[in-house]
Amino acid sequence: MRLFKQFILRALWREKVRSVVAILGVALGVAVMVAIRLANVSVVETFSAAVDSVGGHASLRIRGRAGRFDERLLLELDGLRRFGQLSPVIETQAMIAEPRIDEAERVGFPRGDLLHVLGVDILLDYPLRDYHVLATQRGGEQSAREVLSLLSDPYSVILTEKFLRRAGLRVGDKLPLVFDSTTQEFTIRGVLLNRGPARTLDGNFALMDIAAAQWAAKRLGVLDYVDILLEEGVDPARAEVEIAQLLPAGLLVETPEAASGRSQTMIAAFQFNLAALSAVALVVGLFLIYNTVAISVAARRREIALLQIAGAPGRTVLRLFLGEAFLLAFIGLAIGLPTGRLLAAQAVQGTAQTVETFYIQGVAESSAAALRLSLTEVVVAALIAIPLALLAALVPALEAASLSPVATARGLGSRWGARRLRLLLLGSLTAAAGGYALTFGPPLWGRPVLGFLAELLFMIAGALLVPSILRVGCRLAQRLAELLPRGGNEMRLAAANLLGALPRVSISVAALSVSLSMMIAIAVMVGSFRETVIYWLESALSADLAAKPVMQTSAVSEATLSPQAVKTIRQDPAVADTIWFSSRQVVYRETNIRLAVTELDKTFERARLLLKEGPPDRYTADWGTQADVLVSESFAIHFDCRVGDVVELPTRVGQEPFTVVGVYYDYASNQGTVMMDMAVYERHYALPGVAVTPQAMSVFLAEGADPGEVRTRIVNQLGADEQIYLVTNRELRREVLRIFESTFTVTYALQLIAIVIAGLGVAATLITLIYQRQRELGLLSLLGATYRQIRRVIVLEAILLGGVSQLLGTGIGILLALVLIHVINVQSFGWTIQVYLPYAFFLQSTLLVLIASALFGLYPAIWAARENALAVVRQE
Amino acid sequence: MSDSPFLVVSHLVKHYADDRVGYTALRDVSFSIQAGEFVAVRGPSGCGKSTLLHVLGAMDRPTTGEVLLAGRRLDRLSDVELAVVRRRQVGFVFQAFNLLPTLTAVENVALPLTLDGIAVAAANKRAGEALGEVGLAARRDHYPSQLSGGEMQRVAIARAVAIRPDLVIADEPTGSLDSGNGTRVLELLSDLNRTRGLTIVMATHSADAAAFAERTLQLADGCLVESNETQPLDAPV
Repeated sequence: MRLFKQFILRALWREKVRSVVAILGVALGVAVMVAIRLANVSVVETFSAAVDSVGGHASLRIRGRAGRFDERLLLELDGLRRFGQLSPVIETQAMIAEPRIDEAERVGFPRGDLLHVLGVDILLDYPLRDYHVLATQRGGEQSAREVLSLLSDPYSVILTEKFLRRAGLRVGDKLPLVFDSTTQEFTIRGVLLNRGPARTLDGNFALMDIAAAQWAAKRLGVLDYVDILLEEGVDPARAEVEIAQLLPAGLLVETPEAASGRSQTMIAAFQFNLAALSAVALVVGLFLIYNTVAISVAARRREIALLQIAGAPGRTVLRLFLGEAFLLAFIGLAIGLPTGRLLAAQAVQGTAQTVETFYIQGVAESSAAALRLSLTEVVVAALIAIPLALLAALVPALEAASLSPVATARGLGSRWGARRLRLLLLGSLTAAAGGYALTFGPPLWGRPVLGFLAELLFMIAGALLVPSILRVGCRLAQRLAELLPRGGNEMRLAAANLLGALPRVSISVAALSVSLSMMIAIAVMVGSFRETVIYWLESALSADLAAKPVMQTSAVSEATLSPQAVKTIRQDPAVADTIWFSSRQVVYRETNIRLAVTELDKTFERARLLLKEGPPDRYTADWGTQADVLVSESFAIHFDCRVGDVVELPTRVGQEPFTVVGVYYDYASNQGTVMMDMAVYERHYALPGVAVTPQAMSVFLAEGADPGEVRTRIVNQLGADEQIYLVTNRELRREVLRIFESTFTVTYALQLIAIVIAGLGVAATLITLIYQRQRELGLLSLLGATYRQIRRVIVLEAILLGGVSQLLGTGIGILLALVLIHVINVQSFGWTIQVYLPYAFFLQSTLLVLIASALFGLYPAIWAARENALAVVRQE
Repeated sequence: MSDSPFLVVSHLVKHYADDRVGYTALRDVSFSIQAGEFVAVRGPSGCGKSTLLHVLGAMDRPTTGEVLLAGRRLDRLSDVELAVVRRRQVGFVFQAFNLLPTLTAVENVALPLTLDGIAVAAANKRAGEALGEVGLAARRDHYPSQLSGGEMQRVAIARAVAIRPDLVIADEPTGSLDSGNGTRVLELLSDLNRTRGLTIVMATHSADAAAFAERTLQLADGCLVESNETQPLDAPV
């Protein structure tokens, strides 16, 4: 311990800037990792809570194979009562509409908030879920029968304590709610205490009577599922098997966890990718630990030799340097954890917004509220950061322990020979070949694990290439210096200095290159994706106006346009044509997929689908008569399906075969989609007596009609009770791109942090190099170099380091982008992206990196220039 | 060569002070040196030899007193002006050679020239000539790590003379060398003094080394105690 204090602690204290930079690097790395983990965990928790707290104590759930089912099938379920209590349920969402005029000015009115609505037969459902209902804010708890009487009026709703408090509402108040596109006024009849389902989406939950909910959501005679609370002593597994045999063809039984698990799988791919990216920041932070310890060893070779000469064994030296890494990582962790908690609030916005857009609504706010730094998170972060830090330090620490005392005392062995460079080059080629081979691998456990491993190998290949590239870069700089006026004296010196410190600077350049390569890879990927989406939008958004219910706020929302709205749009004199669109979730091969329904003849007529494979643009067959479907690219990739294959889809009457006649590009959702014509849908899915209504309509106007005018006319005609979004093509395109950009905000932020960490690494390296070169810098001053000349040498060194890093980073980045586009994206989301190289970005980022390097080099440069001539001679 | 002294030191005091202790390295030192003179400064360790050389070589400023180099008051110059003096008028040779390890011999010698704005080709030509003068023309492209101690010191001397200085400051130039190499270095300095008329001030505690100089300044406890014509080693005392 005494030795640790004398040898390590004093040195860390003496070289405060280097120590602080290393600690900051680890702290930022840990913070980013923790922030993303926390954000992901909180989003998943909110997501699961939404499913689980509504799920209650139910052991099994019966639902339609093809989604919602006819409630008359309940009669056939009568025999199931022997297994336990059955409770039919409808679940939907409602949006809080604009209040009446007198309440419109009230501050805090939650207009636009979404409520998760559960419609149940309260007498049957009471034992299944944890309800605690009060008739007034201060009243006593109500029995099931009393709650039923509270809900006797079809416009009654029970809201949660938390929501009422937040919204400043009381029992007896009126609340306008929008179901689909129609606004209706409800009365708050009771308060649900903050337990059980009331915890759903941070209290944004409403309880209604099942019939009232069916009426409000225009789903008369339709059920979402039936929950079963098994009698005590009944084995759930056996009951599941027995019930399955008793069910009619269109129904299936499963555990609520199975449904919840399927939902989580959907967002898992997105979160896996984000977590992998956040790990990069940590890896760069660990590069800094390696850097610090390596430099520590390099700077103290003489002291190590003296220790060894004094009799300290190699393992003592090893322990000393590992101890240094442990200390740096520990302090970094202590700072990184609370910082991560602070960053998480930002990360959750980005993460949750994407999850909302693509998968489930109302997650963002509740997720932010659910953020907490648990002991598990602390332990996980420590278990990742500290062993990795020790591993990073192991190489230089082992080097220190194995140094020969005599050679070290003489100061030998700090240059890399040609043999070492050749070995590194060979290692680089091997890693690159391995990475290339891995890109051909299949997904493992449904994740692009091999793709990420390939990325890692490419990064390692790039890092091993650094010394060779740096050497070439420095030699070129020396040549270039000769062409400059007065022989580019400072540049020659800078290049010579870097060449002399190749082993040390290579580490920093590798760290910076890897960070930059990630930034460039993401830029190329996002840029390519953006261009591809814009191209796709050209055909997908060819209509003049798009109509959808206000409730439809996510890709998975199933809110529909009312018949009144459809009629008004179609009858407008300026409307030439409309295309009807609807989609719903069904389960195919244990995975949630979308079943999209549209008017395929018109869709083809207006060339609105970008086809990857399949029928010619003008498909002549009669879509309505054949059981033909088109599938999205992600469906084709996930289920390995091609044109001509037959897919068995769950329909109203059981599994039925459909022939795949085409594969189309779809960037609206990464859930696989099967698209069929409306006539086919009506034959196989429509419930008798239930009108099929569209979730969206594309509206084509007569030539010369003004979209803005048509919109105003339709909205005025519909009045306040029919709330629909009617957006112009341009607005929709802007909205799609806005969502697109927001999805990648977290990604950009992560990259920025990784670059800052790497920049710190460069600054730390320069400071250490200067520390080690005090004599040489003093000598320059002694020989008459002015402060300005010395500053220029150091800044040029920084620029050279930045330039070589950017060059290499761009090369590796393009390679990584290709793997992201062709392997990882395809395996994660099933999207093909056309590669687009953003040359302007390359130029901008190069300029930025060169300027940033110069700035990062400025402090060390000013510091170095302070070294005066005396420093060198005083040491003698 | 005029008769007025080339280097004049009057009542020079150098005091080092920090928070706790103060220390006077030079106390009221006065002397003068003619152009082309080879002067040795002798004395035991800590007597102020190096401090005196730092002030003469424009590396440090006196606390009080005056230093006149070729008619210019060094004690009144700014940092930048001192740097220019070091670059153009003073050549340095040290015990530890002080070569930049990342530069070759010729690049090391050319460094002060290029720092002064001389074109690389011209600087390299002059550096090559200086290396030739010290007998190292064949080693011009070697790095310091590829040279022996004596060779490194000769490169340092070449660097000191390549700028064609008015004054060469040599601080224990043979301290790191064996006697054979040490003698070669001293002969070289002596030759340069004779043939090129270089003014040399050399600190040493070796009587043998001091014998190469024309005059010896003896320091003790920061005071100049003696200034003698150097006696040849074999002359009767």
